[in-house]
Amino acid sequence: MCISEMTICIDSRLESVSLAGTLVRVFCEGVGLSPAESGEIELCIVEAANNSIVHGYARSPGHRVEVFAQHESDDLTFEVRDHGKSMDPRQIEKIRLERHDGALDSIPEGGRGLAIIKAIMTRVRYRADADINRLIMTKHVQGLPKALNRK
Amino acid sequence: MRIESKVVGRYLVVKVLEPRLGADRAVNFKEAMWKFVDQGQKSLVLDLSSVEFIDSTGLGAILSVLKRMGTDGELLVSGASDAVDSMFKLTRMNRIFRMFSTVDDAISAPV
Repeated sequence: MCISEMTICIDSRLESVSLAGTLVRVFCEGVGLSPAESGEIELCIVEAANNSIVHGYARSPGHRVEVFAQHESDDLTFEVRDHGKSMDPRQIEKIRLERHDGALDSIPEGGRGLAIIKAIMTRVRYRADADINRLIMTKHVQGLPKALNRK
Repeated sequence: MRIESKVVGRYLVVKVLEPRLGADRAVNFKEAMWKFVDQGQKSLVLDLSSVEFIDSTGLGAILSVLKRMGTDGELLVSGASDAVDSMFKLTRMNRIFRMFSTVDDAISAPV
């Protein structure tokens, strides 16, 4: 069975993020991704939702983090939305996973979430409109089964 | 954060008993591991065989343990599942940590 669309809303608590990640992984497996590919997508959702909670809401509970997943043709599109503090959209362009050739102390312990998402996804965009921030992630996967037509 | 530890030779083997090492557990994990380091443990094996999922915050917490140990410390990672191993490779952390399939492989590896 193929599911074409799914929306999840979690509270802005880090403890809630695994639920969103798990549901998206199941969604991905349902549309035909391998367990490994589905696990990578789960990781992206978790990283994006963590960022919303930590940076958007400054770890404050009681706010909405919405996760949207859609399967259309060979594209899987995911959005993680929050209503917290926005980030500079230009940040997305600059971020890359760094090589670590220097001293151990020079290797950062954090700040890899977006770089991981960019390394896994085909395309990553960020939009901050009015009071809603959207991290839009697209994964192109050839040979996925067709999504169910919505009526 | 549920962990168990046992001494094997000169190593303290610490097994993470949680299936997920994510941002919600990272602080507790780090504090538990730092205790071992602060008690003077210089050789640790971190057994991740029960961990099915790790995010960048969990990975950062493991890195913080290595940093806490300093240059004369040794932190070996064992039992990484495919998903966890893939995360180490994606972030190139497999070049920072010595990784082994099993605890036995880790403790019998040449220094």
